[in-house]
Amino acid sequence: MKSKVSILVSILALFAGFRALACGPISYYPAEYIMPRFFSASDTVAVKVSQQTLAQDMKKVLKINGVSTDDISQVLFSYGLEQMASIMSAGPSSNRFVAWIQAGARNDVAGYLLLAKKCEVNRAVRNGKWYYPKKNDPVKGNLMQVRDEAASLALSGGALASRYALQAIRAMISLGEYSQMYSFWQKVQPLVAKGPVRDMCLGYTARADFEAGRQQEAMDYYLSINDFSSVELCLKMQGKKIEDEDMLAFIAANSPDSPCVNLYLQRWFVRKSIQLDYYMDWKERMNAQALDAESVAAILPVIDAALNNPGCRQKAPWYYARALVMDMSGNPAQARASIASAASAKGTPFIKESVKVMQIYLDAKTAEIGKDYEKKLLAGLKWLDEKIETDITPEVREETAAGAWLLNSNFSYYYWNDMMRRIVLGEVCPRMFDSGMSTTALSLANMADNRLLTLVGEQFVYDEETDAESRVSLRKYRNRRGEFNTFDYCNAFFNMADTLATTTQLYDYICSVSKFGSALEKFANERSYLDSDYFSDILATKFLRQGDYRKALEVLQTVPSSYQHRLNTEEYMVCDPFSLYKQKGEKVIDDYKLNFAREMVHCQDIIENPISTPQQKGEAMVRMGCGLRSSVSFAWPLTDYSYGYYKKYYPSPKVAAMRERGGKMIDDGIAMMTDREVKAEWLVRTQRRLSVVKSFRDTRAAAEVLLHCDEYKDYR
Amino acid sequence: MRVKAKFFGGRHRLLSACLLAVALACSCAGNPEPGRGVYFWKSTFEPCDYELSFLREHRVGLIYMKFFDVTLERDWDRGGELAVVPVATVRFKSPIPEGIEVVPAVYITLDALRYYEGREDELSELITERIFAMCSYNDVPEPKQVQLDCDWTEGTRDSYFRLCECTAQRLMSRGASLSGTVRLHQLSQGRSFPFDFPTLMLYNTGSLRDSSTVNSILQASEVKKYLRRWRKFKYMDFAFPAYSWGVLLRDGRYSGLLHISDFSDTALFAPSAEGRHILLRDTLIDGRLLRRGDVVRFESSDMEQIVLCRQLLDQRLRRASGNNIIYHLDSASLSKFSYDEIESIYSR
Repeated sequence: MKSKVSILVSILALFAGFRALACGPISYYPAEYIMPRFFSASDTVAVKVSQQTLAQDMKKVLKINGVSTDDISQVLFSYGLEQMASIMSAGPSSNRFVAWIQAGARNDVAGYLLLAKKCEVNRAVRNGKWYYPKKNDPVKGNLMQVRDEAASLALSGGALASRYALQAIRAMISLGEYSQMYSFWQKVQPLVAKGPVRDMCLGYTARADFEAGRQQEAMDYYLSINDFSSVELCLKMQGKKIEDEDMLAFIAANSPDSPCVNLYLQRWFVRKSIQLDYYMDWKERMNAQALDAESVAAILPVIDAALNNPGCRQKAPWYYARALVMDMSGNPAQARASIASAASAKGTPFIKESVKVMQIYLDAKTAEIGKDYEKKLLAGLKWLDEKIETDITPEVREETAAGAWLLNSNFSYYYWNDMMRRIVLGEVCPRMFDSGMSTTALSLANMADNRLLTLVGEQFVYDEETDAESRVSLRKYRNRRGEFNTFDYCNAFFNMADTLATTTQLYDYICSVSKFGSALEKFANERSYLDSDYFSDILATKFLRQGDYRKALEVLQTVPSSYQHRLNTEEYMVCDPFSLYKQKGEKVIDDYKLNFAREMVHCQDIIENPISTPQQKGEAMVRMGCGLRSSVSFAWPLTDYSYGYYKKYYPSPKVAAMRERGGKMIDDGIAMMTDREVKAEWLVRTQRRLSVVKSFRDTRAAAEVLLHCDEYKDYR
Repeated sequence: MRVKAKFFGGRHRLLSACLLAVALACSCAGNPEPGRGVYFWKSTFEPCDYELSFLREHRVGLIYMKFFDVTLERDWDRGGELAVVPVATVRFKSPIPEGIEVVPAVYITLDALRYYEGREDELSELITERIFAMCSYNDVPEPKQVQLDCDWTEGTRDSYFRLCECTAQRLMSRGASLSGTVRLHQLSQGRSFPFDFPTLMLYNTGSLRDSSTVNSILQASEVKKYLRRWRKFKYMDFAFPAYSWGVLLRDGRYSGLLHISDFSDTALFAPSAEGRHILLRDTLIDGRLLRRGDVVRFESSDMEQIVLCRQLLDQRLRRASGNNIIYHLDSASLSKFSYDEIESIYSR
């Protein structure tokens, strides 16, 4: 049990530790991806009549045949005032609606179109933020003219009566004549046929009611068309302080099936999801993400009221909301029950997809890890993977190609991939590691990090010489010398492989990649970045860090020399690791890790060889001690992929111990030497001049010290 | 040689001082009586009887009226994109009293200025057109002068000056000229200003938010810091404060402004040093919940400080002509001054 806890703690620490690793700090943890999805950015709950609907309605009202709605739309919404004015006088037109007007000599239609355009143009000026009327203002005059003409034609009836009524109402609204508009509507409404134009008139009427202080009437109307944004405005104008919970309660009681439900639920959950403080530690952040009792007490009765409302048919979003609340308040079992209800309740396909994601997530959180779960997870991941592939947008491609910063920082930016990462990295991997399934965990982490990158397949690169940006394939990007690889050395997989996994676990994973693993591993590996050189370098570096030079050498011999060029650390491979103190060379040293491992093994062999002389052993020990010490200080690229101020001045206990061991090895090595000249030389190098002048006066090194150091003149 | 130079130098200085005194005496004698103005900074123009009689009794000829602010906002009609818009436009509920000239004033925020950087001419057109439309619609005689007000800084100075130049050009074509406010800290930043009529604002001189401030409205000692060098202007308006407020301090920190001047309720306030009053119990003032232990620092336009400032200005800043303007036309504030005190502000 204790070991399980410690593994879990180290897994948590691993994710918490992301911020200290190779590419600098991260902003979010995988468990912080925003999951609630009720509403898509492209959705709208605005109660607006589309241009297409209006064009279709005009076609129907005027009984136009052989003219497309696109042609009608073009005239209605794209023609300017001048074009409108010259419809009858202009020559033949390619637009069939214009041709229809001309052929039928429909001056009534042309007249209406001109009036409507005049109304639109003048309203646009009048509604401009900088507009202020003048005395004898032409805009006001024009609108008054439109109002009078349109009102009179509307009241005379005919096919275009509804439309003239709409223009008169619009002009009156712009002129601020709310009472007149109300009276006019009372008179004209029997002449306005049911349809989109009448709906628009009603919307303006509600606006007039609102402006004239008849807020309840306005609200009733907005409620009748499910325009809750306007209802919210009315309530606020009545001086009521409205929170999202209040609006949701209002909707739950009045119209629980309204599309606005999704808007308000989305807003509520997102607001609750992003109260994170960057400087909190992992535990604090997880607690901050949880819903407090007050929020639960505020939202849960609202959700239950909607579910208990007999008028509620679309229950899926409400059950989904309930599941989210339960999960965020630490009740996964109740969350599972609610999400099961959501799955069987009625809801839009959009919500059903969100429900499915949450089911996969809750399984990942609560199901018992084993073969059955693996099967279930595989099915879920396959579905998510399909969504990733089919729903990818050009924007997501661009963002991803611009560098893996968003990805590695766990920013919510592409829902399907975000959720896959949240489920895999935030839930499955830690639990699998805990259950001893490190190979599967590493496979899944690799997939989570690389699926989207591979799908996009390219990255932007900046060329300093030409000061230009271009796209290159992922493969080329990874192979470019001098290119700072922004993902392979700071993603979740790398951190797991480099820090969390043992060398045995990593070795097992590497071996599994080429073998037939489980179906889940196979699926993950097909979507992963599989590069034996990349894996081997990480493994060998781990061996170097552990001081297992023989195994490191064995692995490094399989990695080509050129791989060093692909490392972000290559530019720092300039110090001779066997010098006593830092000696920075001008050039990058080739085969840095390989040569180091080889030399360390060579030293080890001498030390361990029984026929080696004490002098040979001593020299080998000094050299090995230097290597050991430098590999965790100035020659750090041998054992690490990043090295900052903190690592330099506040080494971990392991690193501190290695440095100490190296120092001791040097001392022991010097002590073992039998050649007085060589020994004295090393004593001078290690700053022990007094010993040299005292005990090695006959050596060249002592003579040199006495010659130059006044401090030791007494010994001359 | 050194003694001789010193002697001549000393004699020179004496001579210069005499000449300067004579010159100043002459210039003062020749200067016209300053014009009398008042700022109007409320959102609805509907002066009460007291305010109307104030204008009459003190022969006020000019009202510097804030027409609108220009600010940067999100335009939700256009999908939330940023737009520079006029806000807080004044509403005219009363006609302009006879014999009064209105100087429309427009306050420009730095955000708006930055947004239009490089397109100052466009902004000047929008501002000018709107001012003239407002005058036309509300029967305000066409202005002879328009005032721009902006808390410009070193970084925004060039853009603001370009805006002033463009606006001055536009106004000139309509027979009007440009006036501009100058804050004390701006006085040292411009050798000359791109408007014909600068107005030096002699209020809000101290730090409102600093809990150690005694009176942020006007302190002659603060003004003195900005008037180290002797400067001369052909024309300069001086704007003096005539208002008061309470500065709420909670836990020693600035916490807001209150419209309060009556601290006579001893069950509610305990007087403390330097115009401070300590709340003795929780209460609601100006719609704000004030807590026991909160401190209200009462600040008002102190006549003594105004007189000291006038003396400072006479010593350090010479003007051939200009108006004296009082901020602002509000019966509650103005009624705290006697007739003579107001006259002393308006007089030369």
